[in-house]
Amino acid sequence: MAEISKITKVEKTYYVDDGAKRGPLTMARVCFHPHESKLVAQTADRRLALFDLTAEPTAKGKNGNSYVPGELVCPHEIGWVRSLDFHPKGEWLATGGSDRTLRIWSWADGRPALEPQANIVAHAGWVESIAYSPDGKLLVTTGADQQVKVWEADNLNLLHTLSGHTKAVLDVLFTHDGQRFVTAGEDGQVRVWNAQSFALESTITFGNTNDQFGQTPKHSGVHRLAISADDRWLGVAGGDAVNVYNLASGDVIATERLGMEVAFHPQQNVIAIGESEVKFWHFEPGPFAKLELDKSGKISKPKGLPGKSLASIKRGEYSLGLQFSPDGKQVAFGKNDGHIELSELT
Amino acid sequence: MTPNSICSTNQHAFSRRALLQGAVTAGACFGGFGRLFAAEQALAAKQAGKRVILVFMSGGPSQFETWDPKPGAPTGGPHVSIPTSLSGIHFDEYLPNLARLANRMVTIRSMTSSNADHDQAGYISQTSYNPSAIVAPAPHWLSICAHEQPAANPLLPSYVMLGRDNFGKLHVPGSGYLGASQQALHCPGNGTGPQDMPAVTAAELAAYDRREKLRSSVSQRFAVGRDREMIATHDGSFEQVGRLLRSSDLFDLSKEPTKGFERYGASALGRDCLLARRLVERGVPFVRVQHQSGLAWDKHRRAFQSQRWISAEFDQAVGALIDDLRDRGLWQDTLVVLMGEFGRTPEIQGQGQPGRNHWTKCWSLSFGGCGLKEGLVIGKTNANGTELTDRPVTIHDLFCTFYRALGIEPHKELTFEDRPIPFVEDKLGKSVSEVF
Repeated sequence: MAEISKITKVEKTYYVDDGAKRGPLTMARVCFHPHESKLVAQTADRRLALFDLTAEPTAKGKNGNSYVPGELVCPHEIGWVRSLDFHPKGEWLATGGSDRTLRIWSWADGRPALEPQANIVAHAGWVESIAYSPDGKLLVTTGADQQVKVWEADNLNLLHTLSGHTKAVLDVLFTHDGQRFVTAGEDGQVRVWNAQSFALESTITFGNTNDQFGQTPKHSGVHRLAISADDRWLGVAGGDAVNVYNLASGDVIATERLGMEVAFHPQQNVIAIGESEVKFWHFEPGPFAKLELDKSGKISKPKGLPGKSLASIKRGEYSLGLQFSPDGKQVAFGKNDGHIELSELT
Repeated sequence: MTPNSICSTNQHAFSRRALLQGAVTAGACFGGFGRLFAAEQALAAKQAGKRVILVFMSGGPSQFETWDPKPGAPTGGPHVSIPTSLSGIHFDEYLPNLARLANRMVTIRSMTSSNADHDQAGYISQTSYNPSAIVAPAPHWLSICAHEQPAANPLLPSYVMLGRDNFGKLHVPGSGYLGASQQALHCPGNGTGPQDMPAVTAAELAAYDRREKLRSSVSQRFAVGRDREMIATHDGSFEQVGRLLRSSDLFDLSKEPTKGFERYGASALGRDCLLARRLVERGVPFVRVQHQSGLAWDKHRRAFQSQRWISAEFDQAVGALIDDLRDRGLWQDTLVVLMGEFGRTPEIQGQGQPGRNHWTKCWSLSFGGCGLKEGLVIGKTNANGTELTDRPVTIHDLFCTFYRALGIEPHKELTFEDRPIPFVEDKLGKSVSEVF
């Protein structure tokens, strides 16, 4: 794929509505199927939203605009689905809910099964994030119970329970080489775990914690994580800042005043960050950003994201869900009004 | 104020600023001195011996995420529910202590009101009056309680307010037409007593008494030919400062064992609930506790994650408070009220990441103690929480219930500017008879 120079919004939008009177199904996470033109989204519901990205708009919304209708799948009985991930082969979809359960849904004919293949109580709190290892053998879940759990992916045998976080753990991500996984959450701590020994390798303090006080609570600590294609850079998104760290050293090398979401392009040196407005940058393949020393020889405070600004896309306040497609040709955005939008990268 | 260089440090222990602020505070609380300690009211207080702790949840707590969860309904949100000590009754998952204590409380799931404005609804839900319905501002209901049943011990304030809400002026009503004499003694919150009240030693008290003697003699000369009542009120304020100083350990949480702090939680609300218990235990009859400032329960956006935090700290603090009141034999005479000004919409929309908007049609609250029946759940809503299906309870009904529980006639009238004004607006409402 040649270097990306343009990001173009796809005209059609995706939306799901089951007719229940309860407000828009605000999007929170989006996840491409690894091999098919399908996308599932975690939304304000006990089910996931499933979209066929190749379908044409056949429904009309209240404002008269047409959209590609989605389908609500993978039902939990109560609460909301809080987390999801596809098995790397695309044969299973894992969901975690505020109902404490982890469910595995087999995937066939372009959709998940009607009933889960497995359904277990995984945490003593909301199951906040799920990640399959790149080889598909492990599954890691994190919970509002402050625990990180490692499971055998094919039978859900619990291998390890990893403690240390002191608040809800909101995200988990494997490195692309499968050697490590990273967890983070409301305590502002980023923990890097060895995926063979399951020992804690390092802790990075992101901070930005608060007690979510008052009428307009700020997000506390870390919301989302992303790891660059070469496993060198770790993006950490909190309430109103995104930091990029050298994953090996833990040094913060850049920071930007945009929050909540971060994603790396799967092949190119492109990073996307932001909530209401998503900004895209090309970064330098070598050092990412130059480390500068102050007069005393210490590393200076990190500056804004370096490199070339590629695009800036506004998607409405408090919008969440941001992911590049596995082939790197598309990026999906969730929106607070319940829509999903796509952009093409050319 | 710049310290006067000719005064010693010790003399500044009672700075003029502290003295004046204390005087203002106490004046607000005890202004109507002569009336407040009229013999019949003191006798009523002694006979009644009732107390109230109101924990006010400013902003409008969601009934779905507190006392009337609907897990699995489209309107239910992400929170799940947990069983309570009452068979078949569930509360929000982040209220385990209140779930445990459900068999001690009255839970109303069918509150209904009509004003969805924070400021006005805050006023209505703490006075029973619509803001425009009276010629003078209505008093907070705890001011009325303080008027009717003042502290039996004249050294103590009758009504203390812990914590502040930085929202509009109506939201936390004052003493209204009752005047400064029934105003709450304000404490800034986080477990602290009145602002600028110094720790008192015998030497400092003696210094205060010397100053007060001097001030009093000047005041007597000033009083000649002037309104005696006004002067008496003014002098009474200073006298009360002296009394309050002598009771300063009333607010001293350092006297509480460490274990208490742990049980109440490491939050400002936890410390205020602990202080509230300390106050009622020592004879202050009426305490209002503000849970966080700035409409903290007004969760329009980023509601459901942040709700976990506010609910958890609320549950821990209030649960420990109720446990303590019960353990210390105070429960039978103390009415504990947990409420906000309205509820929140069944529809999940809010502004951005999901939340709920204001909703008055059907909402929930809880109260208990004071000899009321225990373990009652009154009223019902439908499966999606969009409609009341049983036993509507109005704000006026609620106040009739509270006053009746305290032995106060809800429709009693006081005269203000030659007009009779009932405690409950237009003598509306009937007490919720099931709780008696």
